[in-house]
Amino acid sequence: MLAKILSYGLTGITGYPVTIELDINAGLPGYDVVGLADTAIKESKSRVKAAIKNSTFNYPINKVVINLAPADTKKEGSMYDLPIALGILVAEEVLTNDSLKDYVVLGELSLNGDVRKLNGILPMLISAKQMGYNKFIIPKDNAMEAAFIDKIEVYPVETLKQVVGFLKGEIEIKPNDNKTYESALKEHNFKHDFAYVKGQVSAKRAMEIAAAGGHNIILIGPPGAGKTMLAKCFPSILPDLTFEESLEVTKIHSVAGVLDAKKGIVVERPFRSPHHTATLIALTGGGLKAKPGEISLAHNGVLFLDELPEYNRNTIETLRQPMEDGYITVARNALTVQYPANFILVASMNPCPCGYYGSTTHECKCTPTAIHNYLSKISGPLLDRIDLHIEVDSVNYEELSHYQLEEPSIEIKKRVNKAREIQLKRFKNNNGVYSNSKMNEKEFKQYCALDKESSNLIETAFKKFNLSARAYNRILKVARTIADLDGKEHIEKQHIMEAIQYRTLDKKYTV
Amino acid sequence: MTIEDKNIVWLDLFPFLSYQKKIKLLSLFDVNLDIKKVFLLKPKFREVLTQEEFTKMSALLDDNYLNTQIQRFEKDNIQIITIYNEKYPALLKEIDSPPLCLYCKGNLQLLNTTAISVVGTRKPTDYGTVVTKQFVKELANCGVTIVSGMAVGIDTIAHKTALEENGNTIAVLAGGLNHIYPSINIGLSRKIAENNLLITETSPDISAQNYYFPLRNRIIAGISKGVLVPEAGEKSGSLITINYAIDYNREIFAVPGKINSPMSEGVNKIINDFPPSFTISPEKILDFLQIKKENLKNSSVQLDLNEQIILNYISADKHTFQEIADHTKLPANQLNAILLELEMNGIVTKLANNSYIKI
Repeated sequence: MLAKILSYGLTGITGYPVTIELDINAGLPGYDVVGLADTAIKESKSRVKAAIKNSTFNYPINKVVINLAPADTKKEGSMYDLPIALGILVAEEVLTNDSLKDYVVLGELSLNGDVRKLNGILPMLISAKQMGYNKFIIPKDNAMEAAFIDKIEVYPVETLKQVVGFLKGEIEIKPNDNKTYESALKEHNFKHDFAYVKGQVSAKRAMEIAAAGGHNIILIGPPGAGKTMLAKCFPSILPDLTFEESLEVTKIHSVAGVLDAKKGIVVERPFRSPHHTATLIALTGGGLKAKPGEISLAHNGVLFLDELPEYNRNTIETLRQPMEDGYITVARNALTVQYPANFILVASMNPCPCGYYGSTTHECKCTPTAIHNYLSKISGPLLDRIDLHIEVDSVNYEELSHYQLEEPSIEIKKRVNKAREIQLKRFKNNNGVYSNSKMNEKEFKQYCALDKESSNLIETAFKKFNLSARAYNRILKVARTIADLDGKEHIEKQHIMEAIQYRTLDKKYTV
Repeated sequence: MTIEDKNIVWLDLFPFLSYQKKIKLLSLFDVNLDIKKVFLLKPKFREVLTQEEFTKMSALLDDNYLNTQIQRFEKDNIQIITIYNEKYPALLKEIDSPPLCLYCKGNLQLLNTTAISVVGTRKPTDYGTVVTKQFVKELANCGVTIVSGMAVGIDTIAHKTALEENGNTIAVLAGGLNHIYPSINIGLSRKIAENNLLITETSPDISAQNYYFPLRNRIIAGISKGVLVPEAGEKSGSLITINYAIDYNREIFAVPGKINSPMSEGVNKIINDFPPSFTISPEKILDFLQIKKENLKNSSVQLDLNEQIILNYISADKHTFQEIADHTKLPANQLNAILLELEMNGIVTKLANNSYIKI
């Protein structure tokens, strides 16, 4: 008897329906999978056979032919174990085709018949919902992930036997409870908080500006100054992820298999800090299966590159294009996938190779040429895309030792949210632009106009500090954000002055 | 260009010829003659030169060769001022071994202006940095040309400060103008060549050898009326410049440093050996040059209360941004704006590690 089961496949972060057709013929016992299946699917033979037997059903001693339609698309993953097993049971007439016709079935089997967790459930379910499917059988471990999609019925299952019982109407499985995004947000606590960062007023202020305007930022300071700690606190002052943003992030994380199964959805803006030995592919995404890289995992969040000059220069240079476009296209021989990659870059570096240039506690042993070479490891075009350069000075003992808490992140976040609201209102008619850092030339002209006094000031500053031309736009964009934080409609003199202070690397850094 | 000039430029093309040898060669014939024409005729040349040197030089006797070299130099905007030229600095002629030729790039008018040399350590402390800036700023604003060697450290600070104040500055290089050393200062050299002056006695295509640097120092001492040492370590090259300055009867100005700082050992020793060099303010130099101090722009800057509190706090020692913030209780945004304004007015300077000090 012919069995037909609905399942789902994934390219990048979009799903497509897969129909599993299964036929059992007379002949030598065998197991044939057609439809461009990968090794994981072909290996399903052993898992399915063991699972069926260990669930006390009969495994056919005839030839099993499985077709994954559409037959011309490559399919990969272990999500077809459960539908194939159910298909065999239909063909063996344990179940009927009718009992299964409304369901989309996804799940990996273990040898004892348990249903195991999968990667990429959320994007598949979202696509399936859009295609009009609304009943799903998925592994119980993925239930949380599915809980945030409303208007669908999701039946989380634990064993093959349970599924069969459910489909026969012998066992009742309660559909998954829907959870609202707000409730998940409320449950969330940030691990890092600016309340515990002593001193560093200057760096904190700069991070507030970076968060408010979506600006990229680089922190320069000696070892132990607290650069990494500051960076880790950064997500806590970013505006909350909206539900749509969260789904985008969760999709990517689900595909990459880094999603926290207990939470099911990403509520905190991602903070990714790849090590400086990371390869180009690890950052941009790719590999055999064109998986998302670190920059996509950091989508809608923060990409933290600690010790920026230590990274391979080629690796860093590839960030330039996605930083402009907000997405990356990963092309592999089998498929071409576009992953979103809209992140705020937070980088850190030492002021010189030994790290102690200008330090009061350690003597710096670097020659000016060595310092110059170290700083020039970061190319101009990349630096061009970093709006804020901040010097983080080491904290002295008195500051560390007093126990008073500093301003908590939640207070800073309130100001950030306010500034973001102003920007959203400003850019509501500009497609694709939602923060000051993304302004293009036209918007820049329109919103960063200066009065006479301010343009005189910026002219003097340019001459005095030998600022490069590229610094001009950066300074005005940052000044725009500072004015927004200040609640002012026009950029004023003091906003520009503060913005100029954040261009350390443009000003002469060493003598 | 006259025959005499060309003779010198031709001799300069050979890096193996020492200053003494050049002088000797020039003394062997009538200066109005073309050395290339008489080179093979005079057996005396062979006595001065080794066989190898003689062969190398006789290979390049072609007039065209020299002319194309000179054309190339001119195309690179290099101007050639020989000792016979009227633009040659009068002060420099007085020394016992004046360079035969100066290869210059920039504003030649600076050659005969009142100049003070600023020399010192390549690794200045914050104190040395501030002292240099303070002195150069005042001197440059009073029209004194600042001469230095464009090395890293004090030299670079002196040039940069002079440029910032729109003052005049001359960089005396050891190597040729097509081989700027140190390479980190190539950008600075371009900027100096715009309205100020780069000079060297080395032919443009020859790069600097170690022993060129002490020789270069004699030009620094010779071209200026006095030498200022803001900070110098025990083995500093600036001590060589000071010795030349003594030989040439130039005034020496040394700014005392901390007795326990290694970067001040050299300068303190100068003061010990030549007590009159003791200098604690630029006025002493201006008095010596008989220049009346002009009213500086700074006096017109009105300081408000916060600015004054900050200035008092950072007047003697540098303090980090955080310390200033703790001291003044000002929020970071306001403090950033104030410090930038003070920096733009040239009242404070930013040092490494995000710290500030009053100039």
